[in-house]
Amino acid sequence: MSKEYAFADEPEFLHKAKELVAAGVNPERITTYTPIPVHGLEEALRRKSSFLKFFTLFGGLTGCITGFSFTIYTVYRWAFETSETSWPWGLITGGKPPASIPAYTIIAFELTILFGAICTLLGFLLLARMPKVFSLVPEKEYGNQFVIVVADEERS
Amino acid sequence: MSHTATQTQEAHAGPPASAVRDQIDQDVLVAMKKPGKLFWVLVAGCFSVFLFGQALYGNVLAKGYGMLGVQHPVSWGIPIVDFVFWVGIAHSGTLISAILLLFRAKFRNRFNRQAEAMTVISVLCAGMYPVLHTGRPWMIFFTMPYPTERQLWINFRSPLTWDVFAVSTYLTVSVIFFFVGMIPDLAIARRYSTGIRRWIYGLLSLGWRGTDAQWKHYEKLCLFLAAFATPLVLSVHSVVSWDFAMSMLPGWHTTIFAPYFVAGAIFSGCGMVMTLVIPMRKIFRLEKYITLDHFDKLCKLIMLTSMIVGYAYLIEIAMSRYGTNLFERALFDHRMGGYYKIAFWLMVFCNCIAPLSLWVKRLRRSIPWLFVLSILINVGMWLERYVIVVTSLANDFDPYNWGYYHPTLYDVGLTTMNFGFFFGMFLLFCRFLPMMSIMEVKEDIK
Repeated sequence: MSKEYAFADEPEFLHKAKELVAAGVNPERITTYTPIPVHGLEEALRRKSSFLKFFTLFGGLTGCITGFSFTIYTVYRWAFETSETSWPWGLITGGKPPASIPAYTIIAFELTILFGAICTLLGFLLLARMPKVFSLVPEKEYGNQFVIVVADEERS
Repeated sequence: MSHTATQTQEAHAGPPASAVRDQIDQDVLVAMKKPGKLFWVLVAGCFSVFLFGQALYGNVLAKGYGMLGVQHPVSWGIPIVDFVFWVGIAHSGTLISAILLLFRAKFRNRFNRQAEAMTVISVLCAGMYPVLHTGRPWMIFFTMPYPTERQLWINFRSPLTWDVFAVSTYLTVSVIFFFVGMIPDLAIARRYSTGIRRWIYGLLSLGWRGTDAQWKHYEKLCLFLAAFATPLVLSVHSVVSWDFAMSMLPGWHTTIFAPYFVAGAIFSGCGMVMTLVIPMRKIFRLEKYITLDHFDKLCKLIMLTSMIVGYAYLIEIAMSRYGTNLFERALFDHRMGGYYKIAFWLMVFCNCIAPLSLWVKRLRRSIPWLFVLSILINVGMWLERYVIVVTSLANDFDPYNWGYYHPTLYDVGLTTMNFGFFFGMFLLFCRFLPMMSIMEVKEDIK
């Protein structure tokens, strides 16, 4: 038997959530629907903190490594592809070192941000299970109410 | 079979909080109701300006680049001026939405949606000019990193290549930021609409329900995207400034260009936000939400950036006066007293002197004056880019190489074109998407 508790405002809602958990309801069975993020709800429902940061870190690092390795590869690729081993490698232009790290930093920086942002977005979609194909247009919406839904015992 | 027991508790006397929130929904979504004839007339007007510009664009492509005013020695004319102008406009959108989010500046939530929309639209505007400026737009893929048939890659040391990376990253990230910020509001739009529109908003909102799991990840997502967008916005205009500063030309070859351009970009963007928000607030009766206090705070941001820009002008002149570089000194003499002096002094007036009026509290809270000032700022910042791009090229090292630059009517048309596109797209944005961040306003008001 699932139960719904609807509140007009945030404090009572948060109070009820804490009360339910204190009364021994398994937090895993509780789902809430709110119009704005409620601070303190995560703690009240004993949720783990978001895993998203690791996606961000992964994307950022991938971008940074890609930026540097890609640009450096483009100037040294002849050395990679031929058997030439003596210094200097690569195609020298203007008598400068083939790999120009300060200039490539900018490319690496932009790619860090690009990959990081895309990876964070994808991570969010994965973690929040979105897009929810079957509830694109949900049958029941709670509008501006703060709602706690406690799922039935068996389903949990 | 699950049986639902609903317990509703009324919170307290007075209008219940949920009614206040319903009112916010209604007030912000009012623009998404069926618009009057005037709206479509305005949209049609804006887009016909744009289409006229596109016809000119086509003519330039057909007849050649000589239709524009660029010629020796000024080979970067109005298209580059417009490019820098629009990229600059884009910046304050990200500033208001990302940097002020990290700084927890609450007033941002009344401006951030419009500013983000402005960012996306103006990056699109900006992109049109360098594409044209290549002379052969169908060859634009040359700027992409791939090896040519002789196994040479593009030159990653070139600031123009950095620009390709910076601007395309900027477009992608600001689209993501714009879209992500809208997800909860699109779910609200879905709730209030019917029929096919309900499905479209449902699709766009990705099935957002506002569950605790969604909010948990969503809040982190916004924070991380803001953390990415903040260094990005500073880097993009720095890279744009290095298009100039990495060359050896007097007037361009200075180390202060990056911070100077970034401050100028934010300054011009805040001006454009005001130009857009003042009529919008009036038309959609948002006075209750975007109050004079919010404008007051935006004005303080304008004052700050205006003073940074003014300081940069002074430093540039001082460096040319006190430095040992003859060419630099000659160039600034030309800038201030030569053929382009009207543009220079008009720029100083619009960007440094007119914003000083904001020190007066009465003027900071006078909407008509702010509107006039925002137009002045837009004009001033456009002129700044004109002065920088044109004067340096026109008077370089060798007097034998000097010349004058005269924009043609094609230049004027191509510049006007994107104002049509910009305002037309903004009108469509107000019509079809939630024009203010409803969720954040609710959070603020609670």
